[in-house]
Amino acid sequence: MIIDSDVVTLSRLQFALTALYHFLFVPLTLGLVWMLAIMESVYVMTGHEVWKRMVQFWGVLFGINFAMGVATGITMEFQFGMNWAYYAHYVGDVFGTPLAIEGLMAFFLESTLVGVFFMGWHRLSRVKHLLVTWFLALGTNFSALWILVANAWMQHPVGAKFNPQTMRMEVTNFSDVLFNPVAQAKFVHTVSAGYVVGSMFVLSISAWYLLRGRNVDFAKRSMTVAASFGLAAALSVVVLGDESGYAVSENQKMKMAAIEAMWETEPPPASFTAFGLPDVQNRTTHFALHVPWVMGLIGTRSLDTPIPGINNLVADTKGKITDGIQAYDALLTLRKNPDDAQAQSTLTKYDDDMGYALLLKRYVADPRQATPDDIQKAANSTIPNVPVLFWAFRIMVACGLYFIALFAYSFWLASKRQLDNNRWYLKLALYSLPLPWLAAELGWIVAEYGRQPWAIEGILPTALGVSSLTAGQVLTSLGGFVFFYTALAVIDAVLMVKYARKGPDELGLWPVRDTAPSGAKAAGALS
Amino acid sequence: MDMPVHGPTHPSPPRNPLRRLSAELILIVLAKIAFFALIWWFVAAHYPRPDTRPSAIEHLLAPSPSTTPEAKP
Repeated sequence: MIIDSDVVTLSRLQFALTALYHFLFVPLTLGLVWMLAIMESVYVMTGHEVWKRMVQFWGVLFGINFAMGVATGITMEFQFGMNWAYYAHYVGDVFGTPLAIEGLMAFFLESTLVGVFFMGWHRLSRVKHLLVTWFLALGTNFSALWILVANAWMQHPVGAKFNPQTMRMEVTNFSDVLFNPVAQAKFVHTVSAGYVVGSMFVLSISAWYLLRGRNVDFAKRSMTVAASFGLAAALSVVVLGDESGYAVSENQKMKMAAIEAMWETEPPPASFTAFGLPDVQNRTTHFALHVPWVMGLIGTRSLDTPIPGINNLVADTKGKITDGIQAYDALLTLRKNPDDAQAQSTLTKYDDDMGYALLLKRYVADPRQATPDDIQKAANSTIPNVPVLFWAFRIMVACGLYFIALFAYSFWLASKRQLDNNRWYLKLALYSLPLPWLAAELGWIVAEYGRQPWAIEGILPTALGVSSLTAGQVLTSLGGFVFFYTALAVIDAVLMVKYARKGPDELGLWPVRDTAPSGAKAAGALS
Repeated sequence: MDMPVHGPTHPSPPRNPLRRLSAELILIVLAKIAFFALIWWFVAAHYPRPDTRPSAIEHLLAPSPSTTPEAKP
């Protein structure tokens, strides 16, 4: 065995668990903070104290989520150094800048503004406090931008070039890294998914109050905001998800084919497989239910562009591996003799495919000695886990469509002022609470599991990025993280449930004697 | 200084639950940082420092099967 697959698997598992756990908190922060900004804007515009109390109550739950989530993401940045040292070195020149900016955004800007948000009610004027809340919302969302710029570079590495002297990727154009089309598509899709999470959070807890007959006016106002914002967010997340899907079909064709369990290239426009049972062994999909044209339109936005199937992509990959072997050979020659013009020319010609030769390191000591069988195995290894991607994507999309229906119905009920008349609707809204988190986590699984076997798509296989550790070392840190994160999850759930149950009434925030100024703008419309 | 000696006794106002929550959250954040530091000291601080010089990366990618423990992935 050339690569310790246990260390690779455990390191991947550790990163996946910490990322999935961290992403329980992130989308709620991203979404809830805008709800606070909207509610506080209404408070400042109308002067109605009730809106201030709404901001304060939902702000309590926001604060719990923020405090429980803060620092849970830093373990991932530590893991780059601890478990993925070679990866961190290989791409650190590109990856370090957005990560550093994200750290500054999250830990300095965001945390400072959170402090001012909570401590500033009696120290700042209404307008100044509102500005803080808006800057908090913007800062929170911009910190997500930078981490997604870094992540998108792993999916679609642009603006960087391999340097055979330093043996690492180096930035050639930072603007390309920043304006990577995958980053832009990922950012808007991810933050809009967070807005759905925030909206559902407010909708579900408010529905619980209405079911209990508590805080009725407070809950109805909150649900109205959640329904409006949630409907816009749910529509956005689907539309922007389409943009994200288009970016995948442009840049990660194997991931797209795996999501669709599309084994063979179909005549354009390709159909969408609404249901099916992917059979990896026989490379077919049983009981496939095809919807004509849809995949071709989504993936290529045309009627005559084919979407390549898995088998065709594997065949293409074999050619890239062969080219990559030439780049690999040229690199080794250049390391011995940096002035070898022939090797330099060969490397320049084939360096885009050098990563494909590195896939062979799992099967053969010297990629240049690879047999056709080794090349076939390496090409096959570029197929991600098709059933997992197929189902994760479909459940995510089904959740997204359900959110549109639920928020649209909520919006209609709110406009008719009938939110509290329909108990089955309120129960539905309550029990829908976990679904946006499920969809968000599944989205990450599609994005990251679908990237395998690459750490950096087409450049660095995941297995080559791992640190020189033993499985026991990784297992120990993994155990520590699982234990600690589970404890945090329990504490978080207990605190959230405790303070949601208390509600604004038991926290002394409701009912309130409204003292709106008589001339407040838009009071009639918003109260 | 007027100090009422007799009169109705006023129960002390209930403690603000949000003040208590704030204290709890601050303690949780501090505990988190401490626990992360503990994981670091007990588990990660003893990790061998990876050799990421260009020559080591070359060794990592090179065809030789007898890679050193530091350079072996």
